[in-house]
Amino acid sequence: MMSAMDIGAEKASGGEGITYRYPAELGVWLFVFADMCIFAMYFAVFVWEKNLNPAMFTEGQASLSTQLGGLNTVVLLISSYFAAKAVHSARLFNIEVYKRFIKLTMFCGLIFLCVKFVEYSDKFSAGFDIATNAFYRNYFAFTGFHMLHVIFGLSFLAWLLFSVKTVEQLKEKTQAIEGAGLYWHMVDLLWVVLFSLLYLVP
Amino acid sequence: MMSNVLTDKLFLVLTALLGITLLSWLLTSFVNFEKKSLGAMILLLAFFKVRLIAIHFMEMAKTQRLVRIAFEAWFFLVGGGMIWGYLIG
Repeated sequence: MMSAMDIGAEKASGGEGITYRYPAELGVWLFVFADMCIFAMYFAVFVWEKNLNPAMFTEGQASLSTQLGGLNTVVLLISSYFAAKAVHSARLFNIEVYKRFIKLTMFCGLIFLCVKFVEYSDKFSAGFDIATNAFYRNYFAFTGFHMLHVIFGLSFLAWLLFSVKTVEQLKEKTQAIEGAGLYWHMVDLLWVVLFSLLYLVP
Repeated sequence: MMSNVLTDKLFLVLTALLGITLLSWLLTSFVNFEKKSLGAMILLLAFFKVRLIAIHFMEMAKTQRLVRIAFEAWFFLVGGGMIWGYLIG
């Protein structure tokens, strides 16, 4: 039994009679790329508006909790590692390890949502909302849209956790698992840029 | 167990990502750089992390050539564009 990673290595060394399979379906890569382009426009809007209102954005940034934003970054990076391990285990058809890593990934995703809930609650109770000013409009719109991605990713992972009960089902769903992993990494990757832009860049 | 962790490439990538995150935070908290240079440095570190995630976690290097080119173009155009836009502001 050969995993996709092994197949890639065989192809690189010129192995014959081996069917090469790319990680995840092309459609998922295109979807992820399109989503990243939408976020690229958000990043551009943020930088542009920050240049127009530097004082307002500095003041808005000072009201954010770098500790909570940083905690969420660490949590998502760790979840991405677990997702990569889940994909690797799925390719080896190791169902027990696969399920353990999917659960750990989901656990991290839920922690992210809880921290976001605390952050939003703090902001709302302090009187800040999406209509406060340009900084908060960007902050709530971008982090809110990103949070929807986290919720969608968690739903996808939950479906892959509960629909895979046997090794046969794991074999059938390997590409779907790779797709879910790819999507989850994109969610992590976008947060890395959002965290730097919203919380750190002066 | 310890040697397993040390030979796990994904774990080493995670360690690097966490280290760069800590470095970015330390730069904003304890280092007294000029504002624009500091911001550009943080964005550069963020896009370095993004590339690490894409190459090692997303397995970008193992996918179709066109997808790879599109993603590399995204990193350089979006990263470069953001740093340029930030610096001219």
